[in-house]
Amino acid sequence: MKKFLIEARGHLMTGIGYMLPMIIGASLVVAIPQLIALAMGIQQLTPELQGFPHFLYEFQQVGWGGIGLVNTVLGGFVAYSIANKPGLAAGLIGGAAATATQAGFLGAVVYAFIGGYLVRWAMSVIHVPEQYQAVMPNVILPLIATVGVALVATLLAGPLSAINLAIIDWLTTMCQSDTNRIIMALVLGGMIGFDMGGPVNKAAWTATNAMMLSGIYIPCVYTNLAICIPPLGYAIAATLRKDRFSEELRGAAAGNWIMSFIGITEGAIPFTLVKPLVLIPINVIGSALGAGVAAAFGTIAEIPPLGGWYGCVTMINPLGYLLGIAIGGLFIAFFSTLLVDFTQDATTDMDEDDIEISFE
Amino acid sequence: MKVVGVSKCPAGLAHTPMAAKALMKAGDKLGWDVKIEQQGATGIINKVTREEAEAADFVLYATDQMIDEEERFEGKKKIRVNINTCIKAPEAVLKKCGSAVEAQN
Repeated sequence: MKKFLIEARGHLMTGIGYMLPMIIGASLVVAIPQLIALAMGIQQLTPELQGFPHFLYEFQQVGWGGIGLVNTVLGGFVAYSIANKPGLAAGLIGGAAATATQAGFLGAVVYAFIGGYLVRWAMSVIHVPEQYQAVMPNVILPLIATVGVALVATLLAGPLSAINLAIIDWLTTMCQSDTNRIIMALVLGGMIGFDMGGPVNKAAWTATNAMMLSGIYIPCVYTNLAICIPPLGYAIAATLRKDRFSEELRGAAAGNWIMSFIGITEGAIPFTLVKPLVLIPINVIGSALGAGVAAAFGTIAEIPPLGGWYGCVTMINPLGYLLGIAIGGLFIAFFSTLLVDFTQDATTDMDEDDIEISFE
Repeated sequence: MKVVGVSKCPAGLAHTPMAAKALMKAGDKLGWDVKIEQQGATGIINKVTREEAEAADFVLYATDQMIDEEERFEGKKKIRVNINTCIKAPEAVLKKCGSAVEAQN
């Protein structure tokens, strides 16, 4: 079972890896015309607008089209990861079905897993004579996989969309209260800071992006902001307190300014590895604190929020967003240099017995 | 020992090059010939060829994910290790895989 879960996580991650550039691209195409429109004094882009604003509207629709494809791409590449090329079609269809039936992210993942494993199973049990090999990928596998996914999507559409909509409802209500928003920001911020690109970070990231795709934009503000904090913390620290850092880490600090600016938590990893037991709690508190500050200042989003420092332009009260990043970063910079000496070599002595390896 | 491998992470931005560099650096330290290919956000960097794979003692997958162009490694001993472990303790990872492969021979 444990082996299956690790494998399943890998497939989900592969799917997310393919989906990632699409969300980013599509969100930008939604946000850019929105910003131009706001600058022109237009609150909302609608089809009735004429001239240049109409062009902006059409342009933005392309972005929304991309966002509408996200479940499809996710489902497709999760199934592709499971069963390779023969799995792709079933996954794409399952993902599209999830969008159509409002089963959302949850539905896309469920259908993709079912489709993918169905193909894999079919490939292992069905053997056709060599001269008929061509019918396997061209007839039999698409038939089994697509019919299977269609059947499951039809049967499960009701319950899955009920679950999906209930979750969306609950989250929407939660986003309306100030206190809840702050709690949410603290939890999400902490998760982002915990393992910088690892499973906990990606769980928070995936959850908020799934919400963003369902039209709940606020939680994504807090994860986007928290992502900028750990790299900023070490960039500040290594710039102000050079003597506390090894040559190698001082070099990494320059990259961390950029990583913070564009929103990549992973930049903080080489620093955190110097003394994880002390630095992970500092990262968690710093990231949670920053996100909490932004929430307390009423930073929210009404269009899909972008990440990085410049993401602030897509938000209501952008100053709270930047303030949150700055406070979180300063917290990490101060406490990390206070408690840890970064002149040591980063690679830890891990016992060989503690390393898990597995033959394929 | 001669080792080839692939590193890959979901975003393909930071872990992928970090793991590849850490493993190759650890390989130099051990006096091994280690070449790790990066399958990151911008495609494949430092590609391992079929010939290089043929000559290797084993193939190291520093990822939980599916590898691109896996057919190159057909018939080789393949070992999968978590990418974070490869970053944290590259030398120990190589040593452990090396002894596991030797034990099988």
